Amino acid sequence: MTDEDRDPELDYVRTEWDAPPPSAGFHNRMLAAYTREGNAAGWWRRWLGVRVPMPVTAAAVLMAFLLAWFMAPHFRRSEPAGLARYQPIPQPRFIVVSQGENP
Amino acid sequence: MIRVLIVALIVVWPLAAQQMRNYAFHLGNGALVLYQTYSPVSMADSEKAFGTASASGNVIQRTLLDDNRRPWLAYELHIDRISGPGPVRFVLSLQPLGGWKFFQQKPVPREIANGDRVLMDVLEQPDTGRKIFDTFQVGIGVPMQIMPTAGTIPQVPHAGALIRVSGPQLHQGDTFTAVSREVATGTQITLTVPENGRFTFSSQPGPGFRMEAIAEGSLLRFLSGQYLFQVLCTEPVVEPAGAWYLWVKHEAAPLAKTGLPNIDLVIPSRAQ
Repeated sequence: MTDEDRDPELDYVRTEWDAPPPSAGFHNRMLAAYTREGNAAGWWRRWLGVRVPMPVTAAAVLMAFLLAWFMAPHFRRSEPAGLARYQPIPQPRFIVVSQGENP
Repeated sequence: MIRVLIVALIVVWPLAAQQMRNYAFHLGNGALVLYQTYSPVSMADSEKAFGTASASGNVIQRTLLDDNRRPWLAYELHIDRISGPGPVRFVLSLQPLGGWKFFQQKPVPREIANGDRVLMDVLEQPDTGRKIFDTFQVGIGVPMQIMPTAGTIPQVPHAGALIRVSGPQLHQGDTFTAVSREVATGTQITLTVPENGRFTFSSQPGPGFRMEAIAEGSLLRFLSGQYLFQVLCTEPVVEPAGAWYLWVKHEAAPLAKTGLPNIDLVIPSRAQ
């Protein structure tokens, strides 16, 4: 804290002093400037700034997980259900395809 | 919050991704092994889906895990280099791993040449006949190119399966492209490519053919020597949907026409 802050006379002046009121049209000019600046930002930047309630975000994340999970090959009907339907080959073979051999 | 949602989507998207995984192992004997596995389950839990594959010395240790994350099938693939003068050669053999479940019988040990590509059948579905192979290539100081990849587990097509190549665009990396608007259908078809000779594709084995092609949807990918080619078609190459092994034969300087359905591809810059 500086000496000036502790000056009683200055404190008195500061408490008694009223700031001059804003000029006419100040509010409208500020509003117009804000709108102008906002429009100048990229659409993507404004989009990223959109406020979404937390429950909506949580629900969207949950939906994304469920969608990806059920789109996984494990759940597709045309795909095998899993390892349970597979069995080890009784006796595997080394099939050298580069020498023209076949399964 | 929007950013959180975007990050979450990026994180979970691989859940619906592919069923294939590639490894590259450097063995103690100097060999490079490109190892490719397919999984019958999703990538939601990749370790459970694919099990594990790792290398130590001249051995590749492979495990498939059950729902409790314990190996239900495990084996060691031994890749031993044959000593002595002459060309580089290897011997493949399989051994149990860690007392876990193993195949009823070991495969017969097999000698391979430097750079050979090998399929080993690992799993099968008795009711459907579908199989899952581990695929690998072993080499020292030679160009390496593992089997073409696929988004789903490739299967061997039934006898007589038709191959349909329509409006093909052939690519070999970024260096060569040839095209045609023609269509060819048959159990065997040929593509004749300027400066590259003739490629014959078959849905069944035959003399001179190698099972080094995979058709999936409208994409046909195949090997010729160390080179990987891709043919993008306008329609599915093999029905029904899925990934299918095909056989390919390459003749750099074909002597005569085969009588098979054929497409003469052209290099676009020369066709104008």
